[in-house]
Amino acid sequence: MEKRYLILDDGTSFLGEGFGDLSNTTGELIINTDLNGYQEAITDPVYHNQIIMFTQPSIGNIGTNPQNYESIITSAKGIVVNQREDINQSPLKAQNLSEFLRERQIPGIWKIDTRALRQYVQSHHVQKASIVNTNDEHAFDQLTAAVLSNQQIQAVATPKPYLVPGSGMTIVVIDLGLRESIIRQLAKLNCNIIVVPWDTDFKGIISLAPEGVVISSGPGAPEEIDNTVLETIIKLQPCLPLFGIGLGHELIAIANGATVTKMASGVHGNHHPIRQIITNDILYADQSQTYQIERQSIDNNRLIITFVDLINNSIQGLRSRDYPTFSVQFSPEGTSGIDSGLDLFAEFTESILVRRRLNNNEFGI
Amino acid sequence: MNSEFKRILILGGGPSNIGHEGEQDAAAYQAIAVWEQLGIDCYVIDDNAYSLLLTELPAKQRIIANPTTESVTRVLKEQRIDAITPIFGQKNALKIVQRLARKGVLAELNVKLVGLHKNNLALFGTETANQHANTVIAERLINNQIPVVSSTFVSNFSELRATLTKLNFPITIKAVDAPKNLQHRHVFQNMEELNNNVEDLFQQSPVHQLTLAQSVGDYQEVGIVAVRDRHGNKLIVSSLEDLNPIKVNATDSVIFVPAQTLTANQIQQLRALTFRLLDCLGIEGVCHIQFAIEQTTKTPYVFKVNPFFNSATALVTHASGYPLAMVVANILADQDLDVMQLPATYHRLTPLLQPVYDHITVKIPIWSFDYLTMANPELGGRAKATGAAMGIGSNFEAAFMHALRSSQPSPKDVLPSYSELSEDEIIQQLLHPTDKQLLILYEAINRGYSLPDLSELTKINPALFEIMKNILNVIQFVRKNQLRPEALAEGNRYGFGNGMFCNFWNTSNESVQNLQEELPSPKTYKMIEPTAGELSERLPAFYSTYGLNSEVSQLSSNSALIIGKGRNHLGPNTASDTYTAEMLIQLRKLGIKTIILNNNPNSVSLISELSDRQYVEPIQLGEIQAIIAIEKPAYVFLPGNRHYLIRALQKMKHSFKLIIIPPDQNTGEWQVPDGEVDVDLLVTKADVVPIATVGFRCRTDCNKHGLEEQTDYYVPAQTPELAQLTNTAVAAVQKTKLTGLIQVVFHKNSANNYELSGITPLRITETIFLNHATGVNWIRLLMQMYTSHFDISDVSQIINSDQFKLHPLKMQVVFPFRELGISKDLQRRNFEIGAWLAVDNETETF
Repeated sequence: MEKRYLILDDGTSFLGEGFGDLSNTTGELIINTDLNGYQEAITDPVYHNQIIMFTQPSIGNIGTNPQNYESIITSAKGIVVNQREDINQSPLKAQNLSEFLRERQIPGIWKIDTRALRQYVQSHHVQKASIVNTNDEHAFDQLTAAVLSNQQIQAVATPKPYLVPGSGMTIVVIDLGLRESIIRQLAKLNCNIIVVPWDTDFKGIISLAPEGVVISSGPGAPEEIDNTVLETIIKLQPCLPLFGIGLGHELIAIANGATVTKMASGVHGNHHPIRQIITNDILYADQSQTYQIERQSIDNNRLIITFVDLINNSIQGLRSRDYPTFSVQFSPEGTSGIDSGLDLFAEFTESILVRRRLNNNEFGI
Repeated sequence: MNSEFKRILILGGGPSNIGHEGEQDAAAYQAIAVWEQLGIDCYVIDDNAYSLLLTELPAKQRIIANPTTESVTRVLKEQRIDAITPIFGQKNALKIVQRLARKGVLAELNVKLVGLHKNNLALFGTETANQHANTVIAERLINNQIPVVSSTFVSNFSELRATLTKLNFPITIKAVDAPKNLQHRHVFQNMEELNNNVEDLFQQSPVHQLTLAQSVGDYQEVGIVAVRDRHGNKLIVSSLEDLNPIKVNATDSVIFVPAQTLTANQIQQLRALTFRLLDCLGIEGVCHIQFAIEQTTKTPYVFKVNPFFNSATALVTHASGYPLAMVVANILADQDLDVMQLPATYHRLTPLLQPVYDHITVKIPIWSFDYLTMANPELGGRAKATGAAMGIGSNFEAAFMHALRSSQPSPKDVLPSYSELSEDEIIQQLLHPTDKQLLILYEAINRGYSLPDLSELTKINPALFEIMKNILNVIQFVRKNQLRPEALAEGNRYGFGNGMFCNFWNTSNESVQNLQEELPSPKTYKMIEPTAGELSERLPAFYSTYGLNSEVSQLSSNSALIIGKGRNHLGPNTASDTYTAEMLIQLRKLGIKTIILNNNPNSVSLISELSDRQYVEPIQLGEIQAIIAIEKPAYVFLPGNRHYLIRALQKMKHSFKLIIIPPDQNTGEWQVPDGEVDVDLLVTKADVVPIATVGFRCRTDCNKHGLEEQTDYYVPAQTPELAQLTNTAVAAVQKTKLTGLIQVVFHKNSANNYELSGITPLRITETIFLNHATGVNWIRLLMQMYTSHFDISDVSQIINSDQFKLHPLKMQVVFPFRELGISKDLQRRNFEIGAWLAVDNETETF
């Protein structure tokens, strides 16, 4: 039994026991409310530099499994949970949760009253947390002094372009730290996918002759991101259909004059009802959101709000009035709701086909 | 807000029986509260003697009758009903509305069908032979790309062979329209077995037809409970995972809420299938879907669709805190999920927020084979459980232990051990699970059986054995560390009870209690709510854990703690649950805050509308003491059969008034254990008021006079000596110190004269019968007596009023003999599982 502490930047500490890696760690504390699937969260690049607290009480029941990766490189800085189980039931002899975390050098802390912790975090302004061996002054000093890297995208996104070949239309994905499931969805539609580094400029993308561009989700604060991405978006949107997801959605909003702020408490789960404005339908989707677009900053002449989270009223989807650009805050992969047919990837490729037909007519072919 | 209907008729589910306790009654009670708010008059037709609705609805809105096509048609006409719903009445209710729809009665009377779309009615249930309806539903689902376990009809050997090429052994075969006793599915492992039996099976079918299907007996069972409104908005309320594979009926299986061994992808897939199914079947309201998941490919197949309230919907309601019945009632009254208004204790958007939990719930079935030793305890396709207990914990192990402790009969919270069983016996029990399954699994794991082998033998996910192993490791740790605080803390964390520590350490409850008080982290209570702490809900249900902060403080200085009955085995259990519910209602009317401790997910008394606070905990001494320490209630009500608890609480230095719920088995005086008629009286220290005379009858053999065999009750009693018996009864009662509702029983002696048999507090079942027969709520008067709110002149006024009269009524006990496949000559009071009521217009000939 390895006694360890979760310490918060306001001076509070929670006693628990360590598992996984036993080093000290610091990160932004976020709360994940998924009922199933811990491995997906741990490997989601969106959680880069973050310590994930799970509200589901027992994790590890199904071990770990290579199929459940959202990315090969794990990003999370730490795991906080009430109960961990070290079960390995995969026929592939995969690792149990503790082994998985140890190998990837991710510290975990368990036997934490996660409900009390959540209630505390929601009512106090907690940003950073550490998992440490002792909760002395030194540890708190270090936590306060710690500056979380703002180079998160650089850390998780691909440094080099790569191709996921397909027989269909060519789509460029700007990788800001994407989830593998984005690629899986595009591959299902037979797209010929070229994933490019986050800082690929307009010319670089156009030279690949894509018919559409996806701007992926990713970690961190949109305002800290190098202007290259914004410039690329601004130049791309008159030329090609754009589809932004998560961080990509936030950047498209900024590129169209909106501002983005950090939420008092983020949403990481799939339980919030989201309304699609045009149909008045309600759907549920995976959300991992820490920032939101300021409603008053939206220029109604440029952007239309397409989706809204009914619980916190945050903007979940936008569409450009002038360009074939649309974006969503949530993860459109595996969305389910009123219209199980709602498939934004299909909508995206459909819009490209429409454009293709229009262009063809234009040139009289 | 206007709904399309003004007067709705609810079809009741009939007397409780195997697989059916108070859960539908509970859901209907909650729905009615919503509908009344919306200005809808609610009528119920039922013959369940222990239905809370039959006590609580205004007299003209309750119809005591067996719901049949005829009786329902009559009520529809007489009461000018404009809507009807079958969703609180199981399959029988579905069958009735199907017939009414087919005969054109609903159209003719302009009655709206609520809870199921009328176009889909033919899909469900039993109107034609079950398998035909299933084929229709299967086709509809397959056309919507929803995989189902579908069956094929064959009429001869060549058709049979052709179908076999498309299936893999094992397969199941059922003879079409076979006589009832032959109507089960036969599983065949290979061609040889099949060849040996197929001829007989064809013979059993009068239409010489068989249905063939892939056997899914070894597949994993997972359920989904979902709701959908008229606009098409829908959400998953919860997933449920069965411990046992499909071959064990879900009623007889341990269930986890939410599912614990499914990947996010699997859940996503079930969610998508569920939504598609709800849309293509046009479900409006609630639906419980049972999936069979193939073990290696993990492909899910739909194998049962239940568009009504049942024990699964009851379980997820208690597990999540999601107000399911309230939400569904709103949907049925045309209020969509995004506009419906719930009480202020809920967040405005709770109906739309897909529930997420920071706790786990485990349900363990309760069987009564200890009472019915002649019944075969082997678990299979046919449900045998008479009740259920749930445990909630902040980790899987604690939830499991809370449920296990709640499911066991030990008054001192000690788990039985099977260490003396031989290897052979263990293996047999593993292969053919019985009511002892869980404890046998513990024993096998304890003996070091390899977990993969165990999983192969039982088709149970090995992850669940790992959980059990963790618990066993903690038991070891606790045993080794006698009276050590760290051992106590570890045991606490995993849901152990004080009684277990006493047993492990061979010490007294007091010493464990003292050690508990010294621990740095005491027992804390957490709210059972559906947002995992995200929205600030103020819900009244709690479970215990050992955490940092407790979310309860004393509710009121004028409160009553009612200890529920818990596990339902045979005996007057649903009756006592309804009685408990009635106590809660009446105490609240007296201005007393009510707190209930219970763990039966199917009970009426545990629903949040009936009490001010609910604790879902094992009903054991340690738990009760902890709740008393917080609540400091003015009254504690305890069931009369919990002798150990009664003694322990009597010993406590307490400031509360301890009230034993009748019958207190330690009181009463018997001369002869026979009975034919009784006089029921209300007795105070000063007064004796005779209420009614009730006749008893033995159903099988009228020459039997033993009180235990008198399982039918009727009023008015047929005896010429009523006045004389009443006088004798009053005189006899005055000689005792008994107060409350008292029963004086008479039998006929050899000279054919009535003679006193005994005096005893009126039993719960008979109290409820007395309520129905007199139209007076005697439980209300009892509660007034217990809490010093009583005025004898009220009673005299009732008795002497012109309106006071006996309604001719009979009540007959229901036994689960047919369900458990045992002989019927055991018709004794303690084997009852429910009772039905009938207005008795022909008492003379009865």
